This record gives sequence, structure tokens and C-alpha cells, in this order.
Amino acid sequence: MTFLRKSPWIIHYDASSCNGCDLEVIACLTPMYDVERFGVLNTGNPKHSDVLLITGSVNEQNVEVVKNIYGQMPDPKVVIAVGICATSGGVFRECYNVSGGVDKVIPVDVYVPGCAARPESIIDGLLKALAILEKKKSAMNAGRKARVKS
Amino acid sequence: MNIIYGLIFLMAAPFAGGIIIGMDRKISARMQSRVGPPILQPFYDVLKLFEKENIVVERSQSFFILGYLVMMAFSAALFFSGGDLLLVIFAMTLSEVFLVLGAYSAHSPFAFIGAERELILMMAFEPMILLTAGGMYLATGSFFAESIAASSMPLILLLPGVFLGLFYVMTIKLRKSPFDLSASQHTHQELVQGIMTEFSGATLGAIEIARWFETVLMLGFVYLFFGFSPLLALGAIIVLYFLELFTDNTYTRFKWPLALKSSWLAALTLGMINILVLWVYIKGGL
Amino acid sequence: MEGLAVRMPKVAFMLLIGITGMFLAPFGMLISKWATLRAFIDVNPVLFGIAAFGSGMTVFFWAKWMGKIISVHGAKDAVKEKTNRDETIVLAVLAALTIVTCVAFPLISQYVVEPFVAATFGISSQMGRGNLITMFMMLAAVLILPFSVLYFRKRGRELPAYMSARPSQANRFSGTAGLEKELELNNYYLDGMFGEARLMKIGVITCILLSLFMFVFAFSAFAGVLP
Repeated sequence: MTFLRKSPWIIHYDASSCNGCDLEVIACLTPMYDVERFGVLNTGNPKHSDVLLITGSVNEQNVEVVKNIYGQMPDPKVVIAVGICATSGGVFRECYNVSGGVDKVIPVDVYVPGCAARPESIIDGLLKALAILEKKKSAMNAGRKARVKS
Repeated sequence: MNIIYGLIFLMAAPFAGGIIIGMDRKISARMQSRVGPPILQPFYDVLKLFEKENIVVERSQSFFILGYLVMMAFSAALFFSGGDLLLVIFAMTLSEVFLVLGAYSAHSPFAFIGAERELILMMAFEPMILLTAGGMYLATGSFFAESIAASSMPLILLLPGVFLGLFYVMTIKLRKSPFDLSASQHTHQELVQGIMTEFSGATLGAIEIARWFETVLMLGFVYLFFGFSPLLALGAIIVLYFLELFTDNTYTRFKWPLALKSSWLAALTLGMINILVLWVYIKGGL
Repeated sequence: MEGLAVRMPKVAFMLLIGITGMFLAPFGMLISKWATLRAFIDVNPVLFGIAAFGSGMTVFFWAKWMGKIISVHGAKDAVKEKTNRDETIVLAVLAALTIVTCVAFPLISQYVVEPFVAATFGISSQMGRGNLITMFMMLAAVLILPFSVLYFRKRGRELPAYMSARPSQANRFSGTAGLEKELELNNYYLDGMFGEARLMKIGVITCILLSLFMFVFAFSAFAGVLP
């Protein structure tokens, strides 16, 4: 059993979203939904975090930033695309200035659709992401063991 | 000096510190009408951090954080084995200088400013803790923690000003608002975790364990004021920590000039005047 | 001062030894601060207070200087050190003496200092065994720690510092409008509190007053007014 499941630390980034999904992410931290009871902490530092919550269809200025944040996170890490804009571009899909979804820039593990995504869906997506995080950790351990043996 | 006590407390202090911080988060959450994380959450956090990949910005930073953890553990072990209070304070200062150097070595803007602020906070804290040690020597005749803890003198009645001053600056060491300028809880961040920005994984886990040692050491200093009655001491520690939590949840962060000047003012008025009065009382034979 | 460790590594290393000898336990300040504080608290608590405040201030500016020397980034290529050979020899001898003195202090205390103090003042006091052992343990811990650098040398993936997720190399980050900016880090000098202009005024006035008082006291003692 890994402890990643018990203490996932989030970093939340708004990649040119309308802020609707961001407000719902922050709402998860309020007393009504309170994700901190799962050990979730909203850190602002990619070096400290395990889960990247991205909202918004990524525009040109954000591409480098999103890649940088993803690069700064230590393994194992998961990415959750919150909202339909992050999933597939939403209503802005055909626009010339957006990439049309986060998975065009970095690999995404969980998609949470909705406009704006409800806090219940976000928490559901977070729990799915934790299961994926555990699998990644086991793969990391196996990989490390394989390296040591060879 | 009792080495056995020192070793026992060395093993027990991280667990005690972790539980204290866990209850800290739980009570803070309740104050904010939330449910809050489980009490063992700090242990889950540290164990998770040890499972993460090792990332460094600068190769030497892990060495500095190891120095921070080792010297903080040494300082706590020395205190609980009844050693000289001055040496405990010097070891604590040494360990914090290691932390500051670790942040400096990363050459990152957030860590740099966090390190500068941490040094300013150390400058604010040091006079009061040295005055505490001096006051305890005047009251009991010894600098050794074991004599002070075993003494039957009611230190809280002889050193009320020093106690209040220590309570004021203890907020700095416990990293609570309004003095959490250099590194705060993840939820009240400023400058992106300040001094802790460039640490991750096992290094961050080591910093968290050192923070547990620091918390237990600070509460140990509070115990010394009530050494004549362990039960009263336990009650005082609980009440004091609750007041710190309350201050944390009600106050916002001070700016560093205000933090520095107010801490020095507390040390000068509450601490120094108490010591002068006590010195005249003891040496003058009044 | 920034980049000294890249341009003059030997000088920087010896500078670091010197600085630790100025303010860090268990190097220089361990015995000095400890003995001073113990002596003052019995005799004059005001001096004890001054020493307590001063101790905090010294930690601040020495650690700040150490940090400035330690925080290096950028040119990792070895630049040929241009220090004079005579200067290097002198610095090396001083650095070695610092380390030797810190390690051998009980011997120096027992065979050199205490006989002198006993001969001059008639009394002398020894440091307790427990304290000596503690100080040695601290010294041993600090001297063994640097060997962990060998352990940490191979571990860990290197990443650039976090510059608010702007793409960055060692010292440069991409700022607004695509311009590359260089990172500049400057220290706090606390000019408002400890600046030269401010302290000069207070210092000069206090000095004049004390000198006046001294002269008045001396002449009145000479004239027989005061005993």
C-alpha cells in the first residue's frame, strides 16, 4: 500500500479558463465539500505536488507554462483535466488561438467533463486519479527494481 | 545529564510532534467549520514524501537539510537529557543556519527571499530565548534543564514577563501566523512556500520531521516554567498551544519590520525588565 | 560577492571556514558566547541582554554572507584562479589554525588559558565534563556531516529552480513579451534599522556625552571633589 493515496497534494493551474471550473475547484476546499479530509492540500508549488488539476483550453501563451509545471513535478504524478474546455476545448474548440484541450500538450490521466464541472465530479475524478497514481507508483517500483537487478 | 532520557525522547519526539501537528490541523479545520484531515495525517504526508522521486535543484541541498535534521534532533536530545540550555539554543541556531544555507544554495528567487526572511525571524527570536535561559538561571541557579525541571521554584511566578515574551516569539518557531513569513502551511502560502520552495520528496520529508522535533522542543521550554507540577505543565502546554492555534487562525501575516520590531520590543520590555527585577531581588537580597 | 565560489574557489572555501568560526557553534562562537553569557548573567544582566541581542544580529549578517557565497549558479566551467600564491598560503594557514583551535580547545583551555587566568586573577573556573562532551559531540556531528555529500552526489534528478513556471535555465528566465531576463538576487541590508546614517548620529552623540562625562569625572577626581 502506498501512502500516495492518503496524502495527495494538488497544484491547480488555470490555462486560460473562464474561471468557472477554477471556482468549483476552490469550492471543493470549502466546508461544504472539504477535500482536506482526504489529506488533499492545495499547494502552489509543482515540486511539492502529486496531482495537477488543469482547467481551460490551453492557449499559445500557456503551452510552455503547462509543460514547465508538468516537468517540475516529481514522479509519480497524475494530471486531471477539469471541465469540458480542458478535456476537448469545449465551445472554444474551433478557435484559432487555443490548442483545444490539455492532452494536446501533456499526457492526461483523468478527464472530468462539465461546464462548470461540479465539485462532486471533481472529487470523483480525484479518487479515480489516486487509483491511477497507485498503479504508477507500483510501476515505478517495479522499474526501479528491474534497473537494480540488471 | 541523563543520556537514557535523551535517547528515549529522541525516539518518541517525532511521534509526539507528528500527533501534535495532526491535532493542530484537525482543530484548525474545526475552527473553520470543516471536518479536517485525520490526526495521523502528518505521518501519511511524510511517508508519501519519502515515496516520491528525488529531485534536486542543487546537489548540495540534501546535505544541508540532513544537517538541519541531525542538529535539530541533537538539540532536542540534549534538551531532554537535561543538558545546558545555552548549548541547546546554540545547536538550534546551528540547525536553522543549515536550513537557510540549504535554501540559499538553490539560487531560486522564492527560496532566496524566504531564506532572508528566515534569518530576520531568527534575529527576532534569539534575544528572547537567550533571556529565557538567563532568567531560568537566575531563578534556579543552574543552566541545566534537568535541574530546572526538577526544581521546586515556581518559575512561572518568578518569570511572568519572560513567559509572556517567550509565548510571543514562540509563534515564530511554530510557524504560525502572524509570524509565518518565511514558510507557512501549504494553505497560507506566500512566495510559493518561501524557504521550502525548492525542496521536494525525501528532503521535504526530512524538513517536516525536523519541524516535529522543533515543536516538541519549544513545548519542552514551556514545560520548564511549570516544572514544579507536571500536571499543571501539561495543562499549560495544551492551553498555550490552543492559544497559538487561535492566533494562527485569526491573525494575518505581519510584514517583516513589524515582526522584528515587535519581537524585540517584547524581549526588551517583557523579558529584560523581568530579568532586571529578578536580578535585583536575588542579588540585592531584598 | 556573488559568483566568488566560481571565480576563486579556494578563497571562497577558506572564507567559509572563517565565517563559520565567527558565529557558528561548534566552531568559533561556541566557547566565546557560552562563557560570555555565563559570566554576564551573574555580574550584570544589562550586558547579558546586550549580548543576547547582539548574538541574534551576528547570526543574521554572517549567515547572509555565507548564503551569498554558497548560492552559485551559472558558469560551471573552471576559471583559472588569479589569487597571489603568498596570499593563498597565508589564508590556508589561518584556515588550518581555525580548525585546529576549534578541535583542540580543551587542551588550550587547560594548559594555556587557565594557568594564565589563575596567575592574574587568583581564581579560575573549569568547564564541566558534561559540557565538554556535549561540545565534542556537536563538533563531531558537524565534521562528519560533509561526508554525506558523497552519498548525495549521485542521487536525484536535477531540475531548474521554480520561476513561476516560466521556462528557465540556470540564471535566465523568459519574461514578458518573450524577452529573456537575468535573475538578480540582492540581500537585505536593513538600512532603515541599522543603516550607517542612522547609527552614526546615535553613535556620535553617545560618544560625545560619554567623553564629556569621562573628562568631568577625571578632573573632579583630580581636583579632589570626588573620591
